[in-house]
Amino acid sequence: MSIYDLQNANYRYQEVLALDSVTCAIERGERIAILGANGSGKSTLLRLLDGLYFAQSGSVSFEGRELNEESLQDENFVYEFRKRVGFVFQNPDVQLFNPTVFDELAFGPLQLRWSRKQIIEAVDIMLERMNLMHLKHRVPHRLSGGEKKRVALASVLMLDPEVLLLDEPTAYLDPKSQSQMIDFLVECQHDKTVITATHDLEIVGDIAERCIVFEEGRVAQSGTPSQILGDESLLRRTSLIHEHRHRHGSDVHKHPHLHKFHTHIQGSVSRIRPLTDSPGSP
Amino acid sequence: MFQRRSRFGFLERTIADLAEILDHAETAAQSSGNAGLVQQLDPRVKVCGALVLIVAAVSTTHLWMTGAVFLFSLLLIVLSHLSLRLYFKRTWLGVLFFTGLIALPAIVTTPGLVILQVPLLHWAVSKQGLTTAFRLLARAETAATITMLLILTTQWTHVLKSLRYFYLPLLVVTILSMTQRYLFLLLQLTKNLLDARSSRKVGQWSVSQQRELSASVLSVLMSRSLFLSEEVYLAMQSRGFTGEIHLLDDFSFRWRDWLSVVILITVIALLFLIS
Amino acid sequence: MHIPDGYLSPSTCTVMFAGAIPFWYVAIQRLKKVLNARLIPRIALLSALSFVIMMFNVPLPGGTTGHAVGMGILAVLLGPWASMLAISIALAIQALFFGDGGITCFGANCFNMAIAGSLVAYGVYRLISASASLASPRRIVAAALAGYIAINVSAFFASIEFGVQPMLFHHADGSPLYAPYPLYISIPAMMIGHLSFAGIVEAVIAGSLVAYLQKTDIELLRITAPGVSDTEPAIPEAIVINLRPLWLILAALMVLSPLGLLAAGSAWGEWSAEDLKNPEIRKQITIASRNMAPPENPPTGLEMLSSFWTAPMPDYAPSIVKSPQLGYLLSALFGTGVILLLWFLFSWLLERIVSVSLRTPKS
Repeated sequence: MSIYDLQNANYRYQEVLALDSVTCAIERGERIAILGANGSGKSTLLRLLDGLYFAQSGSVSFEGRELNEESLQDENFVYEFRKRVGFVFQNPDVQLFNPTVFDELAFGPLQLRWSRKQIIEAVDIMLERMNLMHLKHRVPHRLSGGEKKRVALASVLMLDPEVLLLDEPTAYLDPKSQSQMIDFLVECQHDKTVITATHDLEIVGDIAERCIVFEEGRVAQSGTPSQILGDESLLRRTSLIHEHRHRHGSDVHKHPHLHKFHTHIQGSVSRIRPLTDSPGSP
Repeated sequence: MFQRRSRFGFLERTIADLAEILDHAETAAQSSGNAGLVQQLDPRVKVCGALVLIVAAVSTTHLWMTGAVFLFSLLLIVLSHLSLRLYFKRTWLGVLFFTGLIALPAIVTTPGLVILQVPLLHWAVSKQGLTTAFRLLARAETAATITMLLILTTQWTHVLKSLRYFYLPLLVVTILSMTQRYLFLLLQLTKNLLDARSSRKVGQWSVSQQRELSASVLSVLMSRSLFLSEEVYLAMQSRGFTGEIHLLDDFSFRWRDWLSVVILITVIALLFLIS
Repeated sequence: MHIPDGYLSPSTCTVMFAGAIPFWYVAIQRLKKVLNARLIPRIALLSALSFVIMMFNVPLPGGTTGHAVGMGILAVLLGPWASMLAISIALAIQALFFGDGGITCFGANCFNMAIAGSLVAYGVYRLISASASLASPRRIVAAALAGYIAINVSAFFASIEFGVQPMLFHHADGSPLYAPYPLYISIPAMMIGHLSFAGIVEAVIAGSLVAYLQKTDIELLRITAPGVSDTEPAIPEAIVINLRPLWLILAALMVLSPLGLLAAGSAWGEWSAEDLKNPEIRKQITIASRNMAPPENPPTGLEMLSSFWTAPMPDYAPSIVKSPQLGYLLSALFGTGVILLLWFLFSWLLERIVSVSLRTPKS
């Protein structure tokens, strides 16, 4: 049985059809990247997968059980579901609603009624693991962007969920923090089902084995990272890359690219690192 | 006179006020982490102590008792390595100005034994007026000193959690904490919005332009507040919140705290016995 | 109008706390019943908004600025009870964390601004907006008026709390122990600033924010407008208004009316021709007028006009009633009753006119 099964799921937000007849299945242990430009429906999909929004028509099922208002009122189901599925929001200020880092990490276990001693110990262990011990009593307002993201991730990982839903994990981060985040995600993903929504094509190869591309609420394409990243027309159509004009000295040329560094030798085509190569190759 | 005020118009003044608030929060956060005497005490002792001292200072009819509490606070300030200069600038001067302004007319409006006449205006300054004004000032300064002492030596989140022990409902403590958490976000957002507008300002703005700006800034703030509240609700649900609130604190009473309680009780008892 | 520590006596503070606690209790109970955990972040965020509003300098004509509290908009968005809590929380943070407003008089500050403010704002808003559609401009006016009246009622309560201090609490030598200004100074001193500045700011903020919501997220207005349509203008078959909070306030004001007796002497400017001839009263007038004595003979115009109308109940004391306090109360009841009768008559007439004009054949 797939861990997630969507059948013609629709979701309308005010006047906009955010998800349009989405059908797909996600298997246990898969690492999936949901790709799409802003507004393509990625965030909405994640929220449906976390039982925060409910499909207005069609269905979204978790291990065979449909996620709707009724099932999310069943106390036992909710208890299990919230323990097993963790969601890291795009905007860390939304996620960090507790007074201090300590409280944030303790929130999940508190809701699940762990004992006081268990919680305090578990929080300390996680703080060490994520290198956050020096921020234990810090208020969220005084954390940097990268620290906030780490705290957000740590607080979700406290319950050791089997499914991780990540909404733009590299957003709000400077390049160094971004690569730290990616490293961490790659590390901790053993035997978890990880579904990441992003429009950052550079990280896709590291974090996913399968990509699903969204366009205006619909599934445009599905495939491996190399298949998807090699399909330039798809990427352009779905606004994941764009064509762009610029100058080198007196020459003007245009090509589709991801704003990567490249040099231009007079008259010849510039050396752009192809998207399908894995990072680190020349 | 009004012309000059517009130059330091609402935009500049609001930005300045905001900067001061954010700065105060930063100072409080830092100083409450320092290793001073009062910082080391349990928050519950501090909150209770502050309350008791304020009530004592404010409700007494004897000025010397207010003075005694003030001196006691001064001692605690020094022992907690807090900057007296900062205190002067932030607290004492402000209260002097504010309360002084309110209390000043009382010197001439209060009926009683006339001590002197203000030249030219022929207003009568009475002894009762002077005593009243001075009493008011002393109380205001002492209360403000104690409140500031509490804030500069105790993490705000600890203050809130300790209120639980004084029978404040869990729901209220939770909302209080969340308000405080998001307050700084909103304050920063407000400052950013105003800074952005301020940098685009050319020349003087008319009053209606200024009012339009305030209305639009407040509209953005309201939108953001409502949006954030919905998102936060989703985030809470996602982490397992179903409506029941739970709180966890790591307070523990140590010998220091017991000693402080004893000292506090002794001081208060003494004051009452003497009066 | 945040009252700092030291201005109110301990007994006043205790009384005000005692007055506030039942309202807080009811608000929390209602919240727990309705809860809807969604309200927790909403109240928290709007409380933070209220805090920002309180410290926002809003420009006014003449180069001055004023401050509002946010009672108008919060009452519209949250209803009276949640708004009460939200504003109390904002005041708590101001008092505790920023030292703005006292700890001992926190009960008084909350009673004035959070409790009375929210109830009055909600009552006025509901009364005036009635069953107007959510998009109706009437709601903007209703919110603005609600804010204006509410903040002035708060200021009024604060001024009374200030003003009774010198009368009730003084030292053996006659000096006031706490706030030193009697009612005849404290009331005008506070009310002038709020009627002309703070009230306008509160009105502008409430009105403009409601207008903004009507364009961006109109459904939020439904919380305090149950059973009202979105865009179709409502035809008033029967005007359904929740008047309960308003009655409570009216009743409270009537009961408090004998306080008027406490005001020493006569109100400034309300002297009769006889008063101007009476040496005792002349002395009072002099003191109250910055030591400027009134003219020896009352102006002829004043004398002429003062005999124009003889009131049925001169000085609020019906001749048959001997006790001045009872006379005051009876006058209040009578006066209010007359106003209410006139209002009902007016609205009945209005209804008849409206329904006649609307009785056109509908498709």
